[in-house]
Amino acid sequence: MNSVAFGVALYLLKTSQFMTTQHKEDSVSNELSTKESSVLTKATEKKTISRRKMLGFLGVQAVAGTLAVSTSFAAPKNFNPKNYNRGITPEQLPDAKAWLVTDPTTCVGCRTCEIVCSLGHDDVCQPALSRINTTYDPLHSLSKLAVMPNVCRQCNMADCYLACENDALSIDPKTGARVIDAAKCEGCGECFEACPYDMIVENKAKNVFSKCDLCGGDPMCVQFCPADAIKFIELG
Amino acid sequence: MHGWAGKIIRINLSDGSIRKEKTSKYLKYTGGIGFGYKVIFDEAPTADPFSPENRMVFAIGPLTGSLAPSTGRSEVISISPHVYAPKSKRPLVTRSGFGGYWGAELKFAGYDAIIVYGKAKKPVFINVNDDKVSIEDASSLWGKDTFEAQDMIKAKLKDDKVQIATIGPSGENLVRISPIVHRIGNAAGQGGFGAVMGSKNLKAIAVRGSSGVTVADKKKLIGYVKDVRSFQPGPLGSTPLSTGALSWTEKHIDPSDINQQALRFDQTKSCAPWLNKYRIKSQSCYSCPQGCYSYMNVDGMGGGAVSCTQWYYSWMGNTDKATFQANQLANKLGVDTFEMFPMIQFVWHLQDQEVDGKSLLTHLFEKKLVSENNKVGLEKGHYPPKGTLGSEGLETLINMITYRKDFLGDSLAEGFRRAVDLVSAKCRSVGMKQVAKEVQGFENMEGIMGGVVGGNGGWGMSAHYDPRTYGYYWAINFAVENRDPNRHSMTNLLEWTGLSFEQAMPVAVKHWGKDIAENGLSDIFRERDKDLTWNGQKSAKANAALGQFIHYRACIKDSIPVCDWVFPIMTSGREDREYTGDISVEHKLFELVTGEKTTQERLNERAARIWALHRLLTALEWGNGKKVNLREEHDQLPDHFFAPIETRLLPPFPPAEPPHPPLDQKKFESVKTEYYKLMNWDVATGLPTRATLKKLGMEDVLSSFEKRAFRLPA
Repeated sequence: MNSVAFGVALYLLKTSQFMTTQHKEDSVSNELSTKESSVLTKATEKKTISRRKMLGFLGVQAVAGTLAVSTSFAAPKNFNPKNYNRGITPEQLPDAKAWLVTDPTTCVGCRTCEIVCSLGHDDVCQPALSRINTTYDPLHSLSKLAVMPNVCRQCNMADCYLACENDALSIDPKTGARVIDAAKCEGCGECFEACPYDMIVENKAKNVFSKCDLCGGDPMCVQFCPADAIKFIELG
Repeated sequence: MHGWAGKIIRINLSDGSIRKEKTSKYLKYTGGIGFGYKVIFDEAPTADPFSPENRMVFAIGPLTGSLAPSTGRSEVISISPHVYAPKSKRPLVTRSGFGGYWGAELKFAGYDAIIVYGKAKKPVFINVNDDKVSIEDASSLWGKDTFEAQDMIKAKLKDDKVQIATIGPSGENLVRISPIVHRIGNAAGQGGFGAVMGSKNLKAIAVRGSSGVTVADKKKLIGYVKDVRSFQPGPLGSTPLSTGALSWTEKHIDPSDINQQALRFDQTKSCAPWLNKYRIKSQSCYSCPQGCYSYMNVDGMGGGAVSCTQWYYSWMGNTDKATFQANQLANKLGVDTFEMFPMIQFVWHLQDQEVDGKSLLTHLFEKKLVSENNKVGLEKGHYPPKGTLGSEGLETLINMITYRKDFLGDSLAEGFRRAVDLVSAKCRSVGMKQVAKEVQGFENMEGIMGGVVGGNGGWGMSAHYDPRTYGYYWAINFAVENRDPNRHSMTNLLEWTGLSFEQAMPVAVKHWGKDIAENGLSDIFRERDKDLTWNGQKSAKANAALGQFIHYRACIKDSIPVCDWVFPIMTSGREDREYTGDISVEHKLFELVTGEKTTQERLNERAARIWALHRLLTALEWGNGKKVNLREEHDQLPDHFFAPIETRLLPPFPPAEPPHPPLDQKKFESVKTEYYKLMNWDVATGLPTRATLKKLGMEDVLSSFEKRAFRLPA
């Protein structure tokens, strides 16, 4: 299968999610329309993009109807043909060179990782903005996983990266981390919708999204974890 | 403004009104207990604990929610139904705190405190979600245990991450030893504040927030916290040298490696090794590297968190799964675990003491003051070989207390010290004079175990640490507090560190200088017949200085706030530092978070203000506005601290050590004199002077006090 056909097949697999996204986006637009006019302009732009996407969707669907679909590939939820404009296909995306690996059996649930992550990146101790988060407090099924850190996987085939229509995602040459440039982020939320692990963070106040950037190779969460529950692993 | 959220919620449950106020009017009192005492001083200082007028303040401080380590504590301040002060004209104010995530979540919702008063017509819970604050129906939650109640609230709000402080059935039944419980084991234990919530028909307070805390100097704070980690000892001030049940230290750790430090801590291993296979891992509160509680999951008993006195049943001698069950029952139904030490001993006392060849308990049964089932159950809880000290005795006792079963259970629900009086009075009223006398005899009993002192406790609460072992500074602490004077500044130097007294002394000299260290400190592990260090006036001054240190640090810890267990960082695990910690960490963190230029002196001044306010509140309550001499009337210790022990030992199970030699009244009084001088309080009455209050910038408090009570000494 050539790369175009591959992409199309993946695209087809995710059409249902695409519809869901579309619906969500519309309701966001409605909400926004009651606010300031500048925001309104942005919302209108969004709608335009959405329409364009919808047309693209229909076109591709017509072509793809003739192709055999393999279900053995994981696919970006929001794979968008527009990404070809950047000249990158999922296959061409460079692999991550480093990962965060966690050990839920030692995590003490202090949430220092969340605090230091948000303070380091966003200048405020605010777990809601942290790019690492913790699962905690299950009253019933207390197990080794009772409290555990959840981290961005820096997926090789990064759905967030492929979903971005604004070139806001780039790849850190040192770590291979998929990084969102806040200055370029339009707040469309495509990456947020695309992430299968819910690791994209929405900053509602600034209308931008963010994600783990591996702190350029010396992650603060790793430095500050008192329980040795997070490790920075360089691959290869 | 950095650190503080800037807003406070005020809720009147009687009329359902919810208001938001600015924090600014309380800022002079920092946060935590400072806010609490100020609210109560201003609004209802002499209210009855269970009256709608009584204010309940849940307060945090500027460091809450920030990167500053061990700042996960929330403070609860109210007039307490637990404090036992029969000579006081009005009930006394006090404090309690709990860890976990609740306080940080409150800050993220945008608030520094919640003030609750009034009484709801039916059971309610308060729901705080960012800007939205509401009073919700809690009829279906009433009667549920603390775990189930939290689950039901989470389900109702459809939010797993909501943080909840709740009460169990004991709080609803106004049991005076009922805690407020958060998550699966964080509890504001002493003070009986669970019952205060119950009296207001308030089942729980749920909070959820999405904002954050800004700090003044992000870069320096991150760097400084890292520095602190490099010398901060592991849990509880432990060093690699620690041994013994409360040292909780693994010996293989590398104190120079911060990632090796929290791993040292395994309470299960040191307190109940037979439960090792059920241990999951150590757990921390918000922003704390210490991991001071164990998550456990025991077959058939579910999951729970256990720390320190929550191991009480093993400390009392149990060696099976009931040790964990004891923790679960206390946390779920709502019984202060620390109170269970004297409580269980009192129940043993009722079985061990005999009149006319029959135990006191049998006499109570014959007068129908306890049912046969409950009598049999309690007897099974006796220490072996008479009883099994197992599950059945435990269940009987906790159920009797929670649901106030029989006259005896109804009395025990008033706390062990009130129970002694109540049971004795009842026996007298039904003509059992000798039985009454033997029951009352419990107040003079002695026994040291897990820090619990004697049958009289501290202000009627099971109390921490024996002044005869530690020193006169601890006697001062007993005398001027309104509750179990529990503070950990000194244990972090002398008890849990693993340092020998000879190794701890140079550390103490670095913190306080030679005069105070050598004339004030005694080796707490010395022979039991050896008296405290005493070098006349020098020791009076040294003990007073240590007393002041404990109280200033206490007020700082409960207001900025940082964990009492961790701070001040007295020792370090590092040999290259000669095991010396750093007691300046609090003010440095305070400055980096708030941006307010702060020295230790400035922070001490903030503490002095809070402590003076606590003092004025106590004076107001003690005399109900009439003139009082706190030195003579309030600042006293139970008599047994000054008398030889003779035959007053508690039951010899598990083996408890006898107390050190009694205190000397004259020495105690000389330390008091020096303490009042250091605090700039009036030496004759122990009251803050007008000049001191003015110097602290408390003119408004001074005039308000004098308007309502009496003129203070100049």
